[in-house]
Parts: sequence; structure tokens; C-alpha cells
Amino acid sequence: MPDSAELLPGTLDVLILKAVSLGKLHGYGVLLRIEQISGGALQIQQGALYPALYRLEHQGLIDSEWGTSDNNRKAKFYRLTVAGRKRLGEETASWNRLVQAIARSLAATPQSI
Amino acid sequence: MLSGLIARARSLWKGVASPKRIDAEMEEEFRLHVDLRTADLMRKGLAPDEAARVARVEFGKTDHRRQDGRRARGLGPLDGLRFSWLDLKLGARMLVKYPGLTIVGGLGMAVVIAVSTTFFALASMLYAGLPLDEGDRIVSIEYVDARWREEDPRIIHDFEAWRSELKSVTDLGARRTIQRNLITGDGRAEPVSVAEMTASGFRVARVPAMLGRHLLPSDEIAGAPHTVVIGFDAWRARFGSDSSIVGRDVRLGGVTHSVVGVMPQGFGFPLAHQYWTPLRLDASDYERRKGPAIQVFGRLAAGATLARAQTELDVYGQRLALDLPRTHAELRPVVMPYQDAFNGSDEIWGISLMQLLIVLLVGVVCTNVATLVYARTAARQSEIAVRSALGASRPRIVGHLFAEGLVLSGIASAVGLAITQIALDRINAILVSLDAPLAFWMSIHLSAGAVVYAVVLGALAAVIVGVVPALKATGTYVNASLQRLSSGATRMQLGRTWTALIVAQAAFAVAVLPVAVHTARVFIGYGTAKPGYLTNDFLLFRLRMDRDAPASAGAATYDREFTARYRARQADLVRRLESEPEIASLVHLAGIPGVAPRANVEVEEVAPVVVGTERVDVGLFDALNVPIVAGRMFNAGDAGVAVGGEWRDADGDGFSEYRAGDAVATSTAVMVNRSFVRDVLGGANALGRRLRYPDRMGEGQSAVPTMWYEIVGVVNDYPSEPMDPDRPRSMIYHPLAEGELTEMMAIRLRGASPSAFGDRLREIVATVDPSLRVHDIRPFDVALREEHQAMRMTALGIGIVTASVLLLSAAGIYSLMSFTVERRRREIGIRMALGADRSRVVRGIFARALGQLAIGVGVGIVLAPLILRLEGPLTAAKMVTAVVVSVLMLLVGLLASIGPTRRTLRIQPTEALKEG
Repeated sequence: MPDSAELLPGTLDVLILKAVSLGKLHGYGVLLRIEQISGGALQIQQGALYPALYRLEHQGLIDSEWGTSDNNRKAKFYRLTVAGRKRLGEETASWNRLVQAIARSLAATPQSI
Repeated sequence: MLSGLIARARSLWKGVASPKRIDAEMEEEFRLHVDLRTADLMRKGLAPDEAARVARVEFGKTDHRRQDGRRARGLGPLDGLRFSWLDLKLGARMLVKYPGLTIVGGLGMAVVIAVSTTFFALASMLYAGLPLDEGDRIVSIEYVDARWREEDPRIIHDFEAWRSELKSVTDLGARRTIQRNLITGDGRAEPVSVAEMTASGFRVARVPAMLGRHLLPSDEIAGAPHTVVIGFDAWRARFGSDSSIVGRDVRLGGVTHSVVGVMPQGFGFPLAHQYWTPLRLDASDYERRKGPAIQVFGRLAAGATLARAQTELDVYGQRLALDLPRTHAELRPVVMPYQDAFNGSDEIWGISLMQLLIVLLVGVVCTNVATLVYARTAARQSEIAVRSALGASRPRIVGHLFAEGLVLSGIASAVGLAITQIALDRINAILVSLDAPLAFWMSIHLSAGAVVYAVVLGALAAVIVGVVPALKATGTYVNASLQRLSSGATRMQLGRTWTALIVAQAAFAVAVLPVAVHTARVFIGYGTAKPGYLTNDFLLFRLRMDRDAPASAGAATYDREFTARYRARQADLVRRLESEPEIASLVHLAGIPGVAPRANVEVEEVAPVVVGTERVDVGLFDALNVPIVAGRMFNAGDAGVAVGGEWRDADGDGFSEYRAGDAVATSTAVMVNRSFVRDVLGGANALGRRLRYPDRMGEGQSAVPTMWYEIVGVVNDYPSEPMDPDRPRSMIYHPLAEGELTEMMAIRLRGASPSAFGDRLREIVATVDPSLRVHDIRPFDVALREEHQAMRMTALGIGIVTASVLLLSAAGIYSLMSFTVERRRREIGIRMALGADRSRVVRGIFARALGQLAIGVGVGIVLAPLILRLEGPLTAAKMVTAVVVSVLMLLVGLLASIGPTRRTLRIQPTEALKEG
């Protein structure tokens, strides 16, 4: 089992945006996709998933439509909107800057000061 | 940014518009999630039951998830405010539990909602569109005198010019209204209004005749046979819906007309007409701005706009101002939507302002009710605290209290609408009794718009009486209240708000109510005044004679001949009537008593004053049994002889007015009334005192300016009150000269009932001359009642509104004061337990409670005279009203403090301590 990591506050939204950017997904699918792309490292609180989905939909970052799931059940599928794609780009860039800054900070040695 | 806002609005709308669908979709989504998770867990080796259980536990309660979901969609605040049938049921129960609040508050709101909705229904009638094909393209054209902004309707020359020149208005037509006796085969004569109208009027209206045809241009040609078109109502009422009416003859005054058509029901163009004859006026007969008054109308040509038509008329107006500066320099032609010629567009501002004021009144009353509700809510603080502790959110509690307000205001709106319906029916009945039909496009009824208006007002009222006190009551102190609940004491922390409320309530009551009470008193006084003299046996009527529109050249001769004929016919009629066995006496009246014109007058040894002045038949006071107070009645010797007076139609409207000639006063005797002696002479002896007018009295009055008249007698006030507050109370009476004519007469009947004698009177008049018309035949007492009708309605309206506001203010002060004392229960109990002196405690309670009230009353007393002065000069009666209202409010406050004080003083010290 890979090492699991705590989800940082505020990062669920961007992970959902990323997950649905890879293809339209229903709610449970989003959960699985995040686990999959994080290599199983990130476990999403099931209770937090749907409010986040609805919030993003409310903000117009994702869009939804009803369709049929793999096992022939009626399911609601989410996909990224143009505004969502733009936001994902911004968030990703911002995240990368933060990671690099923190990594640099943590890699600091007495000699490098 | 914008797309985000749109997305939010769309999502919110979905949540508000179909909340059930949103919930069902979430349920569906959650079910799929749990099922898929269960299947995954089973694949990992869990037994089906166990897998399902674990999946459900992991997901959590769907109820909570759904609530979280709704919040994420921005629906959280709305959820709090949502209320159910249960809330409404509980609200209804609260109304029963607090009947005082329900009756006082509900009634107050119902009355103001009714007043506001009635006004709305009447005002919106003025904006009604024309119920004709493309009615919005029908226009009126007027000439306005730029100096006094008044219409000059004597525009026959301009009408003919416009008819041939204007491109942007087609089918130009004109009409004037004349009065004629309609005399049918059975000899019955009844005066009717006839529209003399160009045939184009029917083309403008685009309404075909129901039977026969409407008027045609060929009917307008001089010498063509006389034709008349009749309206549906007249056809039904006067001709028994006779389908073979077309081709029959009827007489209008002295001229026989052939009926050529009947118009369909509801058609009254140009205003409220039922008879139409062709307009046969030749402009060349008249000088410019002379001749008959007409109204000009037409239809905007295809593609033309009102602005274009106005531009075209402006060019015409400027040209005429240059060509004919003597008559046209100040005239401006104005084109407007058809109805505006009757509505007076400048009144719209006044009406809107009035409507706004009435809505403000609704606000004031609701604020008063809100104060009552606030006091009740404060008493329910513990209940609110417990509900809050059990998990009810603030919006939820506010929603619940809003539901209570909604039930109260809903009932008030329903009662208000019922009152409105009654008021509108009453107004319709008055219009019927006054024989004053509304314009054909207007009707007084409770329209859908008025109902919506009342419902919106009701919702607004619910917000004020429900939400405002609820927000205040569920504010920051709920937690504190909850803490104290555990110790048994639940008291709202009121402090400054409470004091401010009491002060404001009392100040409002004392400042504003006196003026309302005073106005109501005045109006009720006038509206219910008894005449104070004989009226029951008298029949009142006006006698008029048909007039033509004489050519300008012969107008002076026409007026002379008309006056001579009128005088001769009236004399014939008087002789004829006096020979009737049923008629005991006959007197001339210059007008309805109590509606006298004003005049400046100088009385010897007294500063100049304005009083009423009236000319009366020398036998009038005797006939009506008006008691004489001092001196003597007029006698035949006082009458004098009228010289050179003439009946003319000065403004071209078809009605003659009496114009006094060079006044030759052969008598200097005048009488005055009691009020004159009291108010002008200060109660001193009136007999022999002399008076004179510095300038000419009004039209139709012929007192000689600067000549001295002598008071020979004093009569009781006649009638006991003037018709309305604007009329003067002090009166000077001059005798009508012999041969001076009045339109109005009163006959006293012997035995016969006045109401039954009307038909006989018409018959007699018609035999004297068919061009003599009898209008407004009414028993004298009915005539006075009708004159008072509007005053009585106004008095009733003002009285009811004032009484409700007074009641509400008193109730507001009562509940605020009693609650103030109630709040101090514990403190007082402890003081009593510690052995405080009973009378000191009582003084303390009253000092504080009444102190707040006194500040309010003080502020009110300062403001009251200012507000009272707005209504007119400050009189002793007004000041007394102000003092009475102030004392009443103080008494109410005092009374409200007594009950709780007594209860508090009876409290056992142990109980008081337990409350702490």
C-alpha cells in the first residue's frame, strides 16, 4: 500500500477540476479518479465530495448532465467548463510555485545560506 | 467574472424554482454512489450486507449530505426562511391566543390597506387605455394659452385649417356637447346630453353601428335632413330595445330628428355619450377665438408619431402667431394621447405623491403593529431561546415569526379587499345617483391589479410586523437569554431601543394625531350637519333653455332675445305652477344653500373681512321657516328692479350664465346671519349697521361697489353649517331683484310627495315650451344629502383611519409601558424583600416609566403646533384636541403600568430571589 497523505485544505477543489479535466465523470468516479491519479496516496472524505462538486457547479467551473453509467444506471456526469479550465491552469501554476518554494526552503543547508 | 455571476444566478434560480427536483436529483446521485461503493467493497471480499453497511457508514447520513449540498448551492439562507403549513397553522394559533393584538393590529392594517387599495383602484382608472382598435393612436389636439396654461377650446377656425393641412393626423374630427329635451311619441320630455360630432368621429373610433348606420359626412351638410344616432343604453332604456327604431322620428328640443342607427353596448365615444347628431358649424360665422367650444381629435397617420404630429403643429402655431398676433400670439397647439385631454397630466404628479403618502401611512400603521408584536415576541423570549438551543437556526426562527406576521397581514389584506369592494360599490352608487357617468373607457371596480397591489402591501406589512421584530428578538442576546433560562429568568436586554421606541411612539401620537383627530372632527361635523330649516316638502330643480351657437355678428342680439324669451317663459311657468293646486309656494334660489361665493366687505367700525354673500328670494326665509333672530325679514319693497341683466354663453360651452347689467340698487337692505354677528361684529347689535363692498362682487352678483348697505335683519345660520370647511360661515344676504332670473327654484308641495311630483313637473314644463329643460329634480333634503355625500365619504374614511391609528398608538404605548414595568419585577421584588418602602417603590416605578413617556409627549407637544399649523391657523379647538390626545396617551401609559406594578408588589421576596 502506498503511503497516504493528508489532503491540504483548499486542495479538493483543484483535484476535482483536474479529475474531470481528464474526461467526464460521475461523483463516485471523481473519487476513484483522484485516488487513481494520486497513486492511491490521497483518500477523499466522502462527505466532502458532493458539497465541493455542487459548489464548483454553482460557481460555473464545472457543468453536469444526466447520462448512463457503465453498469446501466442513471448517473450525473460532471465535466470541466471553459471557466473551470482557466481556473485549473491558474491553480496548477500557483501550486507549482508554492511546491518549488517550499521544496527549496526545505532543501536549504547551513552552507547554502 | 460575469460568467461566474450568471452561473450563480442560474444555479440559485434552479434551487428556488424547483427545490423538490434538486433534492430528488441529489438522492439519486447519493444512491448510485453508495451502490457503487458497495459493489467495490464486495469485490474486495466483503459480504453483501456488510459491504452495504460499510458503504452507508462511510457516506454518512444522506440528510446531512443533502443539507450540505443545498448550502453549497447557496440555498442555505433561503432554507432558513422557508416555512411550512405548520408554521402558518402555528401563526393562526398565535392570533387566537393574543386576540387583543389580532383585533387591534389586524383591523388597523385592514383599514390602511383598504384606503390604499381604494385609492389605487381609483387612480389606476385614470391610466386606463381606450378600448378601441389601436386606441393608443387616437389623439386630442388642444390650444393652450401660454400665459395661464389654460385650454382655449374656441378653435373652430383652426380645426378647419388642421383638417385640410395636417399630414400626421388623419380623420380629424370635432365635437361639442349640448343639452336637449328628448321628447318621444308619448310626450315624455327628459333632458339628455347630445354629442354634436363630425362623422369622422365614428371613423376614428372604428366601431360599426349595431343597427342601421352611424353618421356620414352627407349628414353634416347644411339643409340635409336632421339625423340622430343613439347609444345602446338609451336604446334599451328609452326605446324598449325596439329593433325597428331605425327610420323613426324623435324630437330633440324643438327639432325633429330621424334615427339612423344604434351603436353597440359600451360605445360612448367621445366621452360618455348616448346621442349623436352631426356637427354643422361654419367657421365663417364666427370671429377667431369666438363661437362654440369644441374638442378636436383624430388618429395618428400610418407611421406618424406623437412627436412628429407635435412638430407639425408647432410650425402651424408659429405661423399663426406671426399672421394673427392679436388672437394667436400666446396660443400653442398641443397634441396628446386622447384621454390626456380629460385626465389633466399635471394631476398625475399629485396623484402619485398622494399614493406615496398613503403607502407611508401603511408603513406607519405596520410599524405600530410591529411594536405590539415586538412586545409579544419579547415575552416569548424563553420559547425562542429553547428553540434555538434545540437547533433552530436564526433564519428558521425569523421564518417562523414571519409566517405569524404573514397570517395576520393575510387576514388584514382579505378584510381590506372586502372593505375596498364595499367602498367602490358605494362610489359607483353615488355616481349613478348623481347621474354622472364615467368616461366610456373608465370603470370603477376591483381590478386584478388592485388585488395584486393589496397582496404586495400585505407581504410588505408581513415583513414589517413579522421580520423586523423577529430580527431584533433573535439578535445577539439569544445566548445570554439561554444562560439566564437555566436560572429561571428570561428577560430581554432592551435598554436604549426600548426607550427610543416608547419616546418615538408617544411623540408620534402627540405630534401627528391631533391634526388627524381635528380634521376628522371637522369633516364629520360638516358631513353630518342637519340643514336647520324645512326641506322635506320641497322639490328643487334647475330650469334651462336650449341655446344655439349664434354667429358672432348676431351674438349680442341673440343674447338679448334669448334673455327676453327665457324671462317670458319662466314667468309663464311660474304662473302655471302657482295655479297648480298641489303647489303651496315657489321660491327662486341663487344656488344650493351653503355654497356661497366669497366677497371682501367693509363693515363700519370693523376691519375689512372676507365673508360669503348670496342673493335670495325675498320670500325664501319665510318659505323655509328659517327663524329670524333680530330685526325684520325682507319684504317686497326691498327687492328693487333688475336692469340690463343678460343670460350669455360667455365661454362657448353651451350653458348660459347670468351677467348682471349696470347695477341699479333701489334697495339698500341686507340681512346677515348669526355667525356674521358673532364673528364679524363680535356679538354687538347688527341692526342699522352699514357695510359696503370695496369692489364688484362675483359674476352674476349685482351689489353696487362702494355703496353703503344697511343691515335690517338677522337670521339663524342657513344652513346650520356651510357645505364644506372652505365655505365662509358668516353670510350677507341681498334680495333678488324683481325680474332677476335664477336657474334654480324650489317648490313647496301641498300633500304630494316631492319624489313623485317630478314627472308631473316635466310634463308642465314641456307644455310651456319644449326648449325649456328641467334638470336635477330632487327633493330638497336629497339635494343637500347629495351635496354632502363626498364630504360624508371623506369624513368616514378619515374617521376610520384616525380611529385605527389612535387605537394602535394607544395599544402600542400600553404594551410598551406594561412590558417596561414587568421587566423590573425581580429588582422590585428584591427591594421589597430588603424592606423598601412600598410607596417609594411605586413612585420609583412610575417615575421611570412615565419619565420615558413624558419625554415622548414633550417632543410631541413641541411638534404638534407646527404640524397643526400646516392644516390652517392654530385655533383654540385645535389646541384642546392636542391636549386631549396628550392626556389620553399619558393616561394609557399610566393605566398600562398599574397592572404589572400591582402584580410586582404582591410578589413574595423568595420568588423574586428565585427569579434571579
